[in-house]
Amino acid sequence: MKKNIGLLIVVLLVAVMIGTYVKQQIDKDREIETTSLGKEMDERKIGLSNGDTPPDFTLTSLDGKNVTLSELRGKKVVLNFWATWCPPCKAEMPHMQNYYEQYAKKDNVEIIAVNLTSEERDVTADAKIDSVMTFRDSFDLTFPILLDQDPKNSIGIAYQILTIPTTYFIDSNGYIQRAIKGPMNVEMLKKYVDALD
Amino acid sequence: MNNTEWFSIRALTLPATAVALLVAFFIVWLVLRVQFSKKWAGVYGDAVFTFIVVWKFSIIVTDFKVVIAQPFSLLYFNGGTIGVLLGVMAASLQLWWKRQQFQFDATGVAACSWAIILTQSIYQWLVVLLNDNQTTSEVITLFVLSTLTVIILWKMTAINRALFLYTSGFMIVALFQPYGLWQPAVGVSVILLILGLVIQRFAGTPK
Repeated sequence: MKKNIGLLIVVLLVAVMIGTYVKQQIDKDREIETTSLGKEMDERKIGLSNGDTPPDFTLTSLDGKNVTLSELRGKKVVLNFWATWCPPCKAEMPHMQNYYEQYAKKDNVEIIAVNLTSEERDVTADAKIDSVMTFRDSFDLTFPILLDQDPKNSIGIAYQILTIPTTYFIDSNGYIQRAIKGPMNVEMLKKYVDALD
Repeated sequence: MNNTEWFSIRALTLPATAVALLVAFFIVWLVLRVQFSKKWAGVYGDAVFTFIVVWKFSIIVTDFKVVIAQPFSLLYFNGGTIGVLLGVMAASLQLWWKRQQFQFDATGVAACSWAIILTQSIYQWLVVLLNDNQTTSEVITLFVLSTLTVIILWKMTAINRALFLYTSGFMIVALFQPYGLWQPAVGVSVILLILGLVIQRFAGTPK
């Protein structure tokens, strides 16, 4: 008798799995039908959920160049938010740099690291930029670092950055595909980018 | 299978594969508890614990320089693919070292076979359900692994034949998956097959 209980659970599990899978497939088919009817073809909205167009911005990089997010369409974008005082950001940066060197060209990716400059812990604006520069040099970072110097932290708020690092993965059509909170290593970055269109 | 989904819990983002593995561990533990005894569920729990600890800290081996430069890395990262393989090996070695203490009898060997097969199958099923992959590879994974699992657990008592059949079946399934034979899950399956064979050998010998 006892032998059958475990086996029964396994058979039940199989049934549940297959049932769930079939249901998923049916739902997916319906979704395709409705989209092909044109019901969900309306313009994608600006927002932060998967499939949305991210809020656009133009920021100045540490090198003094202006970078506009929407102009990067055609490339996959890894949009990272960070600050120099944040330990997980520090842990993540060398991996970002390694990824950038090894794969950015091959995978057609741009890494955009937005520093929440107004949240830096120095007193004057210049001192804040100095600490970002020191940080960049100590990690030999070569990808563009943008400065969000607005004292109201408008871009951080537009992207609802509550924990840093937060990273948005944007596909080459300019739609958000994923938001990741917490630090990533090269292997994770590679996986997330590979999942992008 | 490609991982296409991630789950966010507060400041932590977990890939669907990690979630699938954790859930699989729990279900298998539960099945072992019902089907066999507290003892074998406990042995399984220990092995899982060793796996998780070694996988997590294996970044010391895989990325020594980064850990020295940034000790924080230990907190945030894990050993990745190599870490998974090291974790499975460590858990297997632990079972082998403690074979005298556990005394694998017929029940123990059966529990071992169930644990090895079910952990892999449930993990694969969950990965299919949680992610979005090519339909053919999904259907083959679900169908072949379900059939294999139920038939093996129901009919086969010899662990060596059971595991041989399972691992070769899984390799055929893997051929239809995005990464083919060259994926960690196949490596893990082979290590576990060896573990099963070794345990069966020692089960017969008196202590």
